Amino acid sequence: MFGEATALFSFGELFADFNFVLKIFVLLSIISFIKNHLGTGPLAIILILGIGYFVFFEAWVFFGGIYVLYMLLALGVSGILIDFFFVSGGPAGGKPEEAGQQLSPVSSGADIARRQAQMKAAHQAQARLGGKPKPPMRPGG
Amino acid sequence: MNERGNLILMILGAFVILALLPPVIMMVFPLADLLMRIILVLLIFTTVRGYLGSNALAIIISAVLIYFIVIKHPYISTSIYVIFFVLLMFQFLSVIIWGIGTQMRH
Repeated sequence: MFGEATALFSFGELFADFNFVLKIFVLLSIISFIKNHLGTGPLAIILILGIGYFVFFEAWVFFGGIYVLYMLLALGVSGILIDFFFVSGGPAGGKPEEAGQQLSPVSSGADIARRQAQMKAAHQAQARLGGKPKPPMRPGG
Repeated sequence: MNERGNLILMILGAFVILALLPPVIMMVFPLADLLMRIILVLLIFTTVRGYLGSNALAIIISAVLIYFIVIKHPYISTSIYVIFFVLLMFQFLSVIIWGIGTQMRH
């Protein structure tokens, strides 16, 4: 427990460890990609070594960032961003209908409840004006 | 503008609480700690075996990853696992954003 607590504060060591773990995962991705396309022949080994050298020793900052971005997008972070900006992008403090805007293209439970309340009020008004409200139309009825 | 800022802060605060919850649970309940470590070991081994197949290299790489992820940094790894692999994959974070947004607008 205390070892973890000290590791939390030594950010450099933590970053180095997770950087190493990330490199292992990138190496696994490279090996898997080449094995799937070329099998396990000598050409595949040469390609793994060449691509591995280029990725890890020449442009690791670029490819590490790209891999993290790829994993985040694969896990669905873009959906979170869309939700976040839908929710936080509306008019501040006001109702969205008043400003003539719609926050989300999908109806929520509140929309349906409001629509049902409006229909009920219309039925009651009709009943007050003209007696019994008409039953809903049914096919063949 | 202030209310919109409050909304963003509330959503970010909810994410931070969700990220801090697994380590706290692991510290309070040792059985949960053991269970999460077993889940992480199985996840790592399954992932590496899926990439490399069942051979000696897969076991070596799994051992290295298990040392760094499960033994050296278990709390941070569990937090990342729960946030990204459980909550994000099942779209639970969208539910959190939607719920907080709905509550803040009323």
